Amino acid sequence: MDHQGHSQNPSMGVVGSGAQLAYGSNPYQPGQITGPPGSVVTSVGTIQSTGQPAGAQLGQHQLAYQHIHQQQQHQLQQQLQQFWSSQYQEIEKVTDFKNHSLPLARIKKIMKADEDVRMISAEAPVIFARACEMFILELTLRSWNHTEENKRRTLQKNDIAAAITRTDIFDFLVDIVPREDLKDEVLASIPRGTMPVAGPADALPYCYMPPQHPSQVGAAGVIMGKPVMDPNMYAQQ
Amino acid sequence: MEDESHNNTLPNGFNTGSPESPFLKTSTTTTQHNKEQDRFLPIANVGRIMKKVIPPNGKISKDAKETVQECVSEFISFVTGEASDKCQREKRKTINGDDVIWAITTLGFEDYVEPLKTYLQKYKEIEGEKLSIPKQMRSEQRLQQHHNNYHDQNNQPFNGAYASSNLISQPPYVPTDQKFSLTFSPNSIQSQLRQQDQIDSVGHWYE
Repeated sequence: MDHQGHSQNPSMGVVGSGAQLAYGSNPYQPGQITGPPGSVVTSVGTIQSTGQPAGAQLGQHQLAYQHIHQQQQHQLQQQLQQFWSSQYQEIEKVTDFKNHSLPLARIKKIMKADEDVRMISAEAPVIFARACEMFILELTLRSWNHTEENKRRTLQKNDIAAAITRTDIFDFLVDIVPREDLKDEVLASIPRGTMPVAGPADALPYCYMPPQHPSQVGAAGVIMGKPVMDPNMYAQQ
Repeated sequence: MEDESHNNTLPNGFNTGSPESPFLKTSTTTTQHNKEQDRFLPIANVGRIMKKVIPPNGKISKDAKETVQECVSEFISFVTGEASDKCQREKRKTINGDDVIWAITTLGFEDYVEPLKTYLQKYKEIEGEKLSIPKQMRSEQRLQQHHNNYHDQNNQPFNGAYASSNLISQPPYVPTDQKFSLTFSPNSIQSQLRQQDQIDSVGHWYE
């Protein structure tokens, strides 16, 4: 098993290199959440099934985990749909543009940090206030999904890191989250194969970047269980 | 379960001031802290918004709030950069609401676009109504615009760290809008100049 784990190292470098290129060129434009994710789930599910010829016990465990995870992702999709619906309804009710949940002056100052920015119309910070609120809400919703996956009630930094790595439109935030917080995501790499939101190709690079810490692997029995399935998951992806 | 209430600016100002009071030990510390904080939206506002989408018994760690603060600033810079590039290509000087929405579309945040378009449309309708009100109230509107214009003017020449520090030092003690408005309203020449430029911008935008 250690040998299999070690054999994965060469591809780590290769995929990492791909990540750099992908990030720089930013080629992928994600479609609507409601459509493609469903098909992605179906497709990935099929691949998983065909990729399980050996180890009945292992397959059962993996399928059970996959099922639970798919339920969680379905729940997340529902929450996101409700969220965007409520945004429409909420904005329809807006009549007062004086009360913002975020200070316009501060937004303007952040915009001005870019030296190329010369003048800003009065409406731009107003639009940004709303856009930032939606951004915070979406990021928090996706982060909380990870909190629940780990059976916690406190949203932590690594939950945000997980949400960032799983969501294409959040690629520009990757540098903000230190590699320490990505380790948890590596250990939780098994469910990545069933991720409906993030594209499989895009998800892989960040998974491979940080090396697994030996002490972490040795410390917890639960963590020990996960690496057993890692090689198969990588092979399938 | 969501808490959809909106908060006033004044409470925000109050909340913002409170966390910063421990840093009043020395002026250097205060200045340094304010510089850092000025790059982010207030953590109290961010935390309040985050709570809207987590369960009532859920909690948010402080480092999670701080991480989201950084993410939001990065989001603003990311979108602003894209909008600014577009304005430069089209040889326009002012970033407007449509430019922001265009940039958000280009960067892949499709779900945000329709709500924001509706929001911008409503904003323009309401602001348009304000422009048609009687003269007496219109002068108040001009005062508001004057504040915005002066803020624009003020930011360009004062790029130095010292001037920046001066500006930064104000938020913790008084509401920014109120302070700026009171200080700069008498400058009628400046008001006329900026107003003229504002008209040019609007005209160009419609072309």
